[in-house]
Amino acid sequence: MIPNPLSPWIPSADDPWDRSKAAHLLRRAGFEPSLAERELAFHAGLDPTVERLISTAADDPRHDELDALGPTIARRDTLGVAHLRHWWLARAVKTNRPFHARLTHFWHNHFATSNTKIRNAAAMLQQIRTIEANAAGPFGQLMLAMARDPAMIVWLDGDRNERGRPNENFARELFELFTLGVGHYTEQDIREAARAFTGWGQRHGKFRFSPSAHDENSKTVLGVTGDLDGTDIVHVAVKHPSCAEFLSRKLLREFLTPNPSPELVSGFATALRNVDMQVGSAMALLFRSRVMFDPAVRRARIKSPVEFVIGLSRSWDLSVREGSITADVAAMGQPLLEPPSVKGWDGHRDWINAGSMLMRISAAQRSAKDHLDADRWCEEHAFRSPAESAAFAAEVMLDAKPPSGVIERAAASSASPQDALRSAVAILASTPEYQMC
Amino acid sequence: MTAIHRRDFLKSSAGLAALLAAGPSMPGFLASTAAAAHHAEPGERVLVIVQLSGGNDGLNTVIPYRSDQYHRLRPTLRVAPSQVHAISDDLGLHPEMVSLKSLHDDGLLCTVNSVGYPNPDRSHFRSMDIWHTASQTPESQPHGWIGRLADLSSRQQGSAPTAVHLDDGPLPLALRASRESLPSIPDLSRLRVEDPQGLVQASIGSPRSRGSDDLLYVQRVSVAACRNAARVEKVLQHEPSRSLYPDTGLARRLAQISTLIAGGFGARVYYTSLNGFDTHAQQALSHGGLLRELADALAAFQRDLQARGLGDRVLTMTFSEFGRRVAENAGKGTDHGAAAPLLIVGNRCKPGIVNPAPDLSSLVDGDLAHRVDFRSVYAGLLSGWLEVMAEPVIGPGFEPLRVTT
Repeated sequence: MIPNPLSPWIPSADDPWDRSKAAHLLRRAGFEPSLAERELAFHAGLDPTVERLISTAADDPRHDELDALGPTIARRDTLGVAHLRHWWLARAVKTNRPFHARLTHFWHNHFATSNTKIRNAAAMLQQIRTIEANAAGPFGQLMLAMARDPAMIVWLDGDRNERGRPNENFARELFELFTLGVGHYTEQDIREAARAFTGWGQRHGKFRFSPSAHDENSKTVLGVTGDLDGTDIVHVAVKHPSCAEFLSRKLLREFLTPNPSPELVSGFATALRNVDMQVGSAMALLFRSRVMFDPAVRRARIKSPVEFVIGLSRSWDLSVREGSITADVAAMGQPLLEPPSVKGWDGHRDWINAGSMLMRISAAQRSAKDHLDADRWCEEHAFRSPAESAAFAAEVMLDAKPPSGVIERAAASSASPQDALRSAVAILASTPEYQMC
Repeated sequence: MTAIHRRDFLKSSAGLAALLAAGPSMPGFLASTAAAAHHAEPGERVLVIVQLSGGNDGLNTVIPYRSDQYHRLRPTLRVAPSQVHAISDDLGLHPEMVSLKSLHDDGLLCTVNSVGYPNPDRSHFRSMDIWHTASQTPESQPHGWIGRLADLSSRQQGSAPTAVHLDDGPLPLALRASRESLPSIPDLSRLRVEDPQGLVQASIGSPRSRGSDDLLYVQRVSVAACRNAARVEKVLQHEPSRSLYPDTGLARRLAQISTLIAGGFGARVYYTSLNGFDTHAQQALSHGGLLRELADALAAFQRDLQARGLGDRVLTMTFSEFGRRVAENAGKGTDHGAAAPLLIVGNRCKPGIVNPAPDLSSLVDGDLAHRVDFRSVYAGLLSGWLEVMAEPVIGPGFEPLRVTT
């Protein structure tokens, strides 16, 4: 009898909790861990580490300081979002809650609202806040909050939807992209749902309902009939059996493996339903599960540009100067707050092509050369030779398993431990192995 | 001296090396041979594709300005007959497309009306996937039509990629190939890598005895990435364009494509896009600006190519994933539709309008019916321009539409 892959993994003498597993969990749930983070998790054990990941306790003061600057930065940006983008990334480098940072990016991708149409940084900031407040909670709550979010309303023409002349844009994407996926609704469902959302709008960055524009007549959507309004439609869609399946697949692809089996998708969908679609609780279950520690899942995902850049920054405490990481992430194909379309980024192999890979290699070089404080690292760890600092780089970045010859070559071509550290970090960050997480 | 065709001495690189060794007059000989050629060799022809993302309203791009239904069904969005740039007795270009009108008058614009496919899909993503894969079941197609073209071209190690995506955003499905990893570049300037001792290349390229499919994929792509960097360095040493381009995103991308072509980068297809055509509401506020950006960029690109002596070697095609509904909606916009016109620009396009204007009296569910399957246009460009067999790339059964001279 095959054990349920989602049942808890129990460390044993043959299969213990070790540093490698701790690093793997931290990578999966958040970003590449610093050595300090890894040690903390290893010594704490699996359950306390998962609890810490999911916890919404206070964050690092450096993160909170940046966080408080949000509205000021949004005011500075007005139409564009360059500074807001940098603010968002910089917070993720400093945060003590990397899982929540990743989850917020996940939802940003899911709801894929682009500032190229909104052209209002304050509205985009508000949407980020709405996501963050609801990211790990019940999905129905998040979905309703997003349906009422002013940026989302503008993005999908929600405020151009009136009784008698319905606009189908939001209703279509609600079913196709946010809750059910293609094939689980009909064009008729979309037309009727559009009627239910009539009168929903926004004014001056606040949700506004206009009763006179609302179609009160009976509608039938996904088999439910009544004088349904937008809130009812969200409720019906989230309760639909396909919703848990749809979300399950997306969450598994983001946090576990690019190709989850149908059984796993189905199993995790059940788990989601069992916790009333509370995403945080379901993810905690996943982080403790057997499948999370299955060797097949280790380094099975390709990092997104955000994970690549933030992971490198967190691992080495890189100085995060405005403009550098933001431009790099965009050049690698992930301009935050401006996803290519309502469908968001597909991820995995899509991140990697001859052009974007060159961006990663180029960014790795610049980071190691300009933003890594090699003197400090060598002093703190008392490296006396190039070989020592190069080997340390491999321990931090690749579980001390670099491709053969890489560390030797980096050490041999460097005159000092500092040079060797910079060289090793640049080269290791360029390797195919480092793109996997 | 007998005229030697480039293809003859290019076949034998030893022969080329010998000719080049002959002396400082060699570059001049190459230049005059190219100029003397009656038309560009098929191997040098380039196709540039400009994707209009979001579903361009074709009916307000190439406008049937005499149609009563057009004016009746678009009370606020209609363009008055006095405003269009007439290109025939019944069709005219949107007022903002005066640059394209010039191209039309010079015989450099080919307009194909009512392009689409059976059972039109109105989902952006599915319809775009259909255009990208040339298949009506795109779910079964992991690769795109240009990707297939790349896979079928016998390219040697170290030669240029068959196609390049020059744009922000991920590599489009159209360029996904199984053997080749086609590059996606947002901007030429971000491609520089310092690796004087070759340590990066050595670390990336050394064989991995164990590795997942994904790891080996990333490795293959990384190796190609390093090669492309070297190639781009060479191109950027070439003389920059002296032509003036408008200060818009599309124009900048087309200027970079012109540099890549002129600098001998060597790709056969360049792919870029212009975004923003999903005009569900207040269409009049944005559509004209987009059409102007498109028209002015295409015209500047064409002028630049001609100034560089590349006019006979390049054709540019624009397309969108669908047109829009004939009747406007409550938001003074239009919703997703079906068939739309497709434009081709270049010295060697078949100039003028190749088929009749759309018939607004025989709509299908409120949408324009397609008269030309887009795969016939692909076939016409594959066989008539790039001179490759269309069937292996887009499948059987599509009669090539003649769009070139």
